[in-house]
Amino acid sequence: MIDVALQLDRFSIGVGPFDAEHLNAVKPQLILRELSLVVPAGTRLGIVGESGSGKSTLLRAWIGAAGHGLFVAHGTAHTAGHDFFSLADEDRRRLLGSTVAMVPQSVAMSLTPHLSVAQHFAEVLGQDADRTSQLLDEVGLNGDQLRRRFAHELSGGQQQRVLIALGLARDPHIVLLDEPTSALDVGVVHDILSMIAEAQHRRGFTLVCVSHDLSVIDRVADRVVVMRHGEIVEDASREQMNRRPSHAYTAELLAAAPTLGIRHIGADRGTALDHEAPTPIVRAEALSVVRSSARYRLGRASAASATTAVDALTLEVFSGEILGVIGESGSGKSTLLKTICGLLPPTSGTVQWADGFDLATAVERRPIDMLRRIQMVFQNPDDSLNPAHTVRRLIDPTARRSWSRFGYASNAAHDETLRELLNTVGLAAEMLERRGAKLSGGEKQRVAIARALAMKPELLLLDEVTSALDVTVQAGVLATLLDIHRRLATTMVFVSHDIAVVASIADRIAVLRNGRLVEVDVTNEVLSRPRDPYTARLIELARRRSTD
Amino acid sequence: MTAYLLRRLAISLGVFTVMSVLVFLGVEALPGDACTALLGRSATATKLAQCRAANGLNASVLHRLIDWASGLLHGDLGFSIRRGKSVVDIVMPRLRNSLALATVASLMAFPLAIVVGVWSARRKGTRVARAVDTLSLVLMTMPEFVTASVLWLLFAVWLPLLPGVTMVSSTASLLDILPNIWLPAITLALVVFAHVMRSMRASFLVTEERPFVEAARARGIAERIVVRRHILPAALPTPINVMAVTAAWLLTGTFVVEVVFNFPGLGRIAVDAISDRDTALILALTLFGLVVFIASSFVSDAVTRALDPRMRAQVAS
Repeated sequence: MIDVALQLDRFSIGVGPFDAEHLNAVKPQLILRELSLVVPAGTRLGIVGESGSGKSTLLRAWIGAAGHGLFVAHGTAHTAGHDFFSLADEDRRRLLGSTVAMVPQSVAMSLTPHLSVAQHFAEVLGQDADRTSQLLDEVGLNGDQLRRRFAHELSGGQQQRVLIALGLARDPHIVLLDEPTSALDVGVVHDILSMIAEAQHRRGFTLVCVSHDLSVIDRVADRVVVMRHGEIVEDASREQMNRRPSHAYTAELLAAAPTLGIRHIGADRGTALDHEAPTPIVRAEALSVVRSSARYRLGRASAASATTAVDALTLEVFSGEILGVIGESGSGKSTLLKTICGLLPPTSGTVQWADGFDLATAVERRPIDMLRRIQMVFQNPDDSLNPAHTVRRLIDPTARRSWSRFGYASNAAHDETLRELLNTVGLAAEMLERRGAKLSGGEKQRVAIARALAMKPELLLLDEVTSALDVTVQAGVLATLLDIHRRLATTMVFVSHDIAVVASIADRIAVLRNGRLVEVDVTNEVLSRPRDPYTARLIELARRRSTD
Repeated sequence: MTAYLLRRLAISLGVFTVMSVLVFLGVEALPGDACTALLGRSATATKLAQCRAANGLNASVLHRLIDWASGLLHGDLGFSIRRGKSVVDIVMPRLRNSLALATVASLMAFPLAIVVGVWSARRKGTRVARAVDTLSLVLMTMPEFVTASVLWLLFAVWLPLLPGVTMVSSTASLLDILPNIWLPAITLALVVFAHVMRSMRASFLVTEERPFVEAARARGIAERIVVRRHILPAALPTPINVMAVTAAWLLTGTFVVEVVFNFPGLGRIAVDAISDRDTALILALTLFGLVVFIASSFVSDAVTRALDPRMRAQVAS
């Protein structure tokens, strides 16, 4: 056993055209800058940082995978005493899995789609393939049930557990975890982190966990390294860091993470609910939406089955409020939004606009003024914005001729309108000519919000609009939404899986589970006196996450 | 699965019905008919009238179409006026020759294309891989008659190893035909090789970028296993589709090569049939072409499905 598991010595990784003969001819841009770090064997290290901080690049460097167009600019990285970049391919392969294991994140399809779970294990275990069940058991999965399944037949949490079990299969001394919980439901995150902590305790391996989420790091690491722009800005024990972060950026990260109970943004504003009798803008009564989908069992498909995504839901959205809708995946929260804006037909029950208009009408049959009134912003702006279009084209309503009747005209005054629109969502006017592909994640989402606002909507449907964003960026977008609400009093339905995020913005919270409404009430009421045990558990998990 | 097969079969039948009507009308719209083509310069009004009466050409288009269709239902493909033989007798030996040609060309091209495609993808950026890549581009874009002429010059004239022109009849035994197959087969194989190789290479490179490949490598799995078990099954559907389309082309679109080498296949007779206004023969070849394309896309779908568990489920539902 070596005392030092992982080591960095003024380690730098650069990107760009690398000219090996004339090192100076090309100016490389550094992704990692002169990092020095020592990780003693058997310890638990967390690396936190936002996207682009270089945290994943660093993790890959320890297994000698620089990635496309990246190269070691100078310095060394050692893993269990080996410099993986200078090892022969064969030697490197021998160490991978047995000495150091890298667990990739599951959201990105890290299991081979055409191989079953058992086949994955057989490859890694060789002669010891009969250990598969035991390993699956260790990560909390039922081996007999799952071994014949393929990746698409597993939930996100199950995939992540399988990946962890594959990593542990050959008893590595060092385990590197890349974002082990991103895109998973809060309950699942909790269970997986506990499972990881237990496995580490039992086996005693050196653990390095990379995440954008401080609360995740908090659960599995004793020591936290904060990265930003390829540099280590803070390196402290967990306690030290939570008590008194030494770097301003760490403090910013800590503050930006939404925590329960504190209405830290927009706490000062009055809400629509202060009025005596709130008027509903959307009213759903006994609304059910059945979605059909193929169901898979053990590689063979049984007949297409229908799931009731929204089940006898009765809910009102009041004019001028921000209604937060919270639920885990499969709770029907996105289905509800899609039904309101006419993308999915209700199966039974009614859903109506304030003036009695039947929202069961499909989007292509709605009168144009109704289309304008309801606008939706989607979770992933990478998918919803055309990267080849300029911001001007993306947000300009006159780009769609049918909207010109609302008095939008293409002229200088109109340009002013567009700039104002950008200003509303917190973007600079110069952005107008920039193309979608050149925007950051947060900028893209702001553009998507601007595009919705350009229609002067009366109801804004927000579907997980911050969940793809970094925590500081998320805080900014939430603040912008509140600012918009204050200025324009647009009614909003804000859907999220994160109760802390919802609580920081919503006037009322509706909790959905398996398509049913668990409860709905004023935010502070739900937080302080949850009526349903499910809500209580969500709050409990969120509290534990922020105070652990 | 059965429902899926039936649906596809129904669509294919519909396509064939529409196509046969179009072909019938198309031949009808051409100036002249089978009798003018048959009699050529010796045509006189009386002879034409006799010929038309004898072959039932005086009946309406619709009547003849129905006649032909009912014959087809009994397995009768009709009679070629020009050649004085039943269509089956004309087509069968040539179909055998075409199948032999396509088989030889496929066997030469496909396995090699897959191997070279993977090889060149794994050595991307090296000089030799770039050379292979450029060569395949040349092969792909060069007209077949140029490739054919060059091969003919090399192996039939300068190095007289292979016969440059087929001198045996279409009904000769396969053994007699075989020596004549090589040059046309190599010509076709080169074109097909280039297409399949390039799609294999491109698909391999795209698949290699996917996260599960990086994950497999990070688990320390040997590179040859990563290639064989993780990358290839996910990368193969694309070249398989290309192979299906080119295999169909090998059976139906090889006219140019057949002319250069005087090979007695189907491509040649299809063109002759049109200039002869030989409706029955044209229709038989149309039907054959359709069957080939349907069958090849069937096979490619089946293989793709076998490779991807998600497709299996989707198609079945």
